[in-house]
Amino acid sequence: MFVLFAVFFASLVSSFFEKKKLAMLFLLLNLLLMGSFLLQHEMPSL
Amino acid sequence: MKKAFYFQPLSNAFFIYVLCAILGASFLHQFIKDDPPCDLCLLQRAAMLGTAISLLLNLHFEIRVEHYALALAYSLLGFFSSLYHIAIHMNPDVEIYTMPVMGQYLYVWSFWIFLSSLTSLAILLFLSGVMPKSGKLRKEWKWTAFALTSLLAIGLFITTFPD
Repeated sequence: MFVLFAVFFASLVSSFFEKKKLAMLFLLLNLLLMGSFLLQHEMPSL
Repeated sequence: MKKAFYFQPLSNAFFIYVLCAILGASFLHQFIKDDPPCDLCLLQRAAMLGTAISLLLNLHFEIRVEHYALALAYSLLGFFSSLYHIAIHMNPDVEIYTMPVMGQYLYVWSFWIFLSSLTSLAILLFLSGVMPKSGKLRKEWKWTAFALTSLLAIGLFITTFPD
């Protein structure tokens, strides 16, 4: 889970250095990571 | 006319501050009540932070539709994540570990936050096409939002880092 927040911080750092495309790339990467995490989350047995 | 000119950046800054306040409050709850978050709670916090950072791009660069699209995607992901979390706890056999805050569990609050976030983003996106091109806010507003989101990202990174 800490990887998600590291990528967020990387996105903030790249926007600080005016690298807009890199910041957006990091945000998109995180969106994919979070989506895959949500899909892989185990549903408890009902 | 001047108020309308600054409406977009002002509302974006307000949106970011509200999200940061909610994340800060969840942090306080975690440490004061000794209530560590589960994986899905962390995912919802990440979605809130993602929404805030996407809106920060609007403040830092310029108001663009793609920044709103990113914020909408993060809010949608958080919305479904909290809905899924609620669905899990509909099962009476699944134990609830967290304690309620003001009568509701945190994942239920999260559902309402993402629902209102989606509504506000839809309104802002609509207005970005209707209103004239926005001016830039004073730098202090932007850098405060920047500092708050950076602090939260670092804090969440440290607290989730494996021992």
